Formats: sequence, structure tokens, C-alpha cells
Amino acid sequence: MAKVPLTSGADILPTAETQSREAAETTGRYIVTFREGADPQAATAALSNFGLRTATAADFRESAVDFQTLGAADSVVLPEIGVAVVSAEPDQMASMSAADEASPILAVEPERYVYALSAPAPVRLEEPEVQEAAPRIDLSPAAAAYVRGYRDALDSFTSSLLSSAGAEASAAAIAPTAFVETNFTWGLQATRVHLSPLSGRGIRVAVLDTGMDLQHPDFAGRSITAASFVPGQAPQDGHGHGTHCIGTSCGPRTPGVRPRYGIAYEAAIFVGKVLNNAGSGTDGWILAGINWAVANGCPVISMSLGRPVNPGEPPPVAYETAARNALNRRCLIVAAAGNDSNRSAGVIRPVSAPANCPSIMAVGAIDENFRIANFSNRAINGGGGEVNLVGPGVRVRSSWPMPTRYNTISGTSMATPHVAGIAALYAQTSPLLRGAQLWLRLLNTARNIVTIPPVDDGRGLVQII
Amino acid sequence: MAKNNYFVSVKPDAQITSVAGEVRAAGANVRQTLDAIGIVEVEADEALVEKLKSLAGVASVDPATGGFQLPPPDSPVQ
Repeated sequence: MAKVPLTSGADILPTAETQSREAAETTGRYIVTFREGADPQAATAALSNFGLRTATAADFRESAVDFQTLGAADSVVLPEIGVAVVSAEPDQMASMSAADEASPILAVEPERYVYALSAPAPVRLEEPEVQEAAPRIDLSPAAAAYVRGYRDALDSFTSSLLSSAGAEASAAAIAPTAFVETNFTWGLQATRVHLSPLSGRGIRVAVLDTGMDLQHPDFAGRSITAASFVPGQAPQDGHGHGTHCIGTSCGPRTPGVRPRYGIAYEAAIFVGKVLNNAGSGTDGWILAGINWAVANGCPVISMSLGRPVNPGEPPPVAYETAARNALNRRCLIVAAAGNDSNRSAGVIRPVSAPANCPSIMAVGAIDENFRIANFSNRAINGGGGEVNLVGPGVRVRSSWPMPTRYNTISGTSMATPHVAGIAALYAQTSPLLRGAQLWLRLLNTARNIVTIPPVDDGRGLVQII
Repeated sequence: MAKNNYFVSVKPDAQITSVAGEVRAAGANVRQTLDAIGIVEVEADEALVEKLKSLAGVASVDPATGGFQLPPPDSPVQ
């Protein structure tokens, strides 16, 4: 079996060569370890002395959580295990590292990705090289304690946050109880978008599809750049699929009619019409659309399209070439894993093309009970044919060409723009989160769904955290 | 021989404009040069494919597929 790409940060893509292995495995945040027995208040004060605003895990246990406070904090102190997770500039951390013996701060080290521990890499006996390629993470006892504590604290956080936000979901449960969609679609709740202060501001998101209803009132005043690669047809959406996908990835914070359904509500929308009004498209149109999105520097390119492949069929070379060049130019392509399966009838099909390319992120679909969607395809082929993530893809409400305005439909096409929109949110947080680094961030923040095997959901449900 | 559309993947260290020129000189009709992603779409006789593959700067030559088709707008699964 071919090697599964993008499992490790170090050997994935040419862009990684420009990053040190250290950078590839660290999050950009820092773990501050306090001296044994240090008073939590003194520890918090020490961080404040370095100009950091702090929140404490204990703050979120009892009463209502002020999420704005958490969002504004530079650091979270975890008093039970004597560490803090800190977001700060490297030079700020250097001065903290040099703290004297009277300081409650014992050590400062870069925070490493913890997925290998908190969400174990899938065991695929038929692909032992995957295990070999998995990144080695050597944790000190303090850091290991941090990881365990961080996981527990985050569980506590999410439970508190979700209950205080009025959501019906419980992070502690494998599957949530019924979502109430009064204010937010279930997909936005399941991915935690409704709790995020991020908007995708300034990030260009290209959606290559059937175009967009450019007169849709929910998008009035938005930055929209539209181009058609379909001969003889304008970018205006004559199908509906493109408008729906753009709605999920980039729809407004406050739509004309609730619930909110859009994620990156301040992203710059790049509408690339690569499928005609009958919903069909050629490789030439689609590759031209990818080329346009890359040339325009779109960090996120969403493609809710695919064609079925057979077991054993390799990925299409031209798309892999395009996607690898796109990643080298800091553009991430996400694509639908495909809807060819009918699991209730025992039919499970491989991930579609071009999502089966190693350098294209393949997105499967789950329903609101966190079950794999009946139609969602599986990692049957190696060499890129894996499912990388899943997103909400059953009964998804989003925009639709006027006068219909909204439509609720299902498909891996609907799951894909959830990932694209969240990619834009992450991209907003740092200009370094582009290309392969953005890919890793999406995987490393995904929520493991223990009841779904990795062949169906990859690293799990996309999340903004 | 029937003419088909092919996608020429350009090697990372090659200049796409010169590859497009070589492909044209070899007898293929260049349909579009996608310089941001290193792809040249050509129309060519099937018999020309091996020659195109042998050109310096060409990584791969692959035929266009039948394309993509979405379900109709009223389908519950898209």
C-alpha cells in the first residue's frame, strides 16, 4: 500500500522543507511549567507581570463562562497540574525563560501538537508505514501531565461553554442530544463556530462550483470576486449548489432569517464557476478555476465536486500536480469525499477524485447524531484515497438562489465548505497558517469521534478551537 | 487517430512557458497554460503522447476524464 501522506509534519510536502521540524510540530504557543507547589495566584500574577492576560480553568467550572474573556486572554492557567498555555511573542517568552529562582515559573517550552496522545493516530494494520511515519513526540513528565490535564480541562471548558451558550450539545457525550437550530445551524454548533470570535476577515476563500446568486440579500455589501470558466455562462448560479456551498463557508453572521448558517462571515469570497448550470464540468474548467484561485492567492479553495473511482484506481495526476503546486503557493484545497456509498444497503465506495489526491484534503460527512452519513465514502484506496476529516453533511441549511433563499440538503458537498470556512478562521489567526501548516492545524484540532472508524472520518470532526 | 485532450504536468524545476513551446513544436495544440499550478492542457493525437512524455520538463501526460456531474438541484443528496 502506498504511504499515507500528510500524517507527519516533517515529510509531507515541499513547503515543509522551509520549516524546521521543530516548527512543524509546535503550535506557536508555549507551555509554562510552574514550580512544584507554586501558589496558583502567584503563578497567575507572574504571567501578568509579563503583560499577559490570563484565564484559569477553574474560572469556567462553576458558573457562567464569559467567553469574551477567554477569547481575549493570552494564557490559560491550569492550576491542578501547575502549567499554563500561553500565546505570546517569542521574545516575550525568552524573557520569561530567564526568570529568576524566586519566580514561580520553572520552565518555558514550545507547545507541541498533542494529537498522537489525545487522539491516537488510526491503527491501520495494512499500512504499517503509516505508523513509522507518525511524528515522534518526546514529552517530559511535566508535559505529559500537561497533556492529560489539558484534555480534562478542555472537556470541562467545552461542557461549560456549550451549556452557557444555550446549545443542546454536550461535549462529554459521544453524540449530542438534539441540536436546537433557533440561532445556529447544527453544523455551526457541532464545529464550535458559534462560540468563535473569528470571522475570516481578510482571507480569500475560493469556492469552485456552479457559481453564486450574486443578488442574494444575505451577501449584500460583501467582497465578492466572480469569474466563470464555463464557456458562455456567467458566474450567476443557475443550479443552487454553488450558492449553498458559499453560504456555509462564507455566509453572514446575521442572515436575513435565522439561524446563522455561514462560517467565515468576513472572508473575501472568490466565486469560480467551474460547473455549468446543469451541474456538469470538465477537468479543463476545474483546473482553470484552481489556477485562478491560486494566482489570486486564495489560502482556501473549496471544491464540493467529485467523480466516482473504482477500488485500486490511482488519483488523477494533473490534480495532484495542481494541488501540490497550490500548497507550495500557500493555498489549501479541500474537496468532497463523495456520495457514492449506500451504507444501509451494504455499499461502501472509495473516496472520489480529485479528493483522492494526496495533496487535496478529503472531507466526509456526518449527521447530527455524529454518525457517518449513509452516502459518505470510505478510505478504500491508499495513496491519497483517505478521508482526512469529516464535517456536518446531513440536513444542512444554507443559502439558495432567490426567491427560494434557503435550502436544507445533504452531501459531502455540504461537509466540505464547513472545513473550508473553518480553514479561513484559522488562517485569520496567523499568516503562517497557510498551505501544509493550515492542513496540519485542521487535522490537529479535529475532534475524534470514537464511534466512527478512521477509514470513515479520518482525524474526526473539524473544529475551531 | 482521434484527438484527445491531455494534461501535461510540468516538472517543478522547469519553465512552463518553454514546456508549452516544446509541446507545441512537437505537434500538440495548446489549449491553456495554467502557470500557477504547472499544468498545460493540450489537444493531441494519442500517438503523440509518448513523444510529449519524453520532453524535458514534462513530468506526466494524462488524459482528460469524462468530467463531473452534480445531481439535479432538487436532489436531497448533493
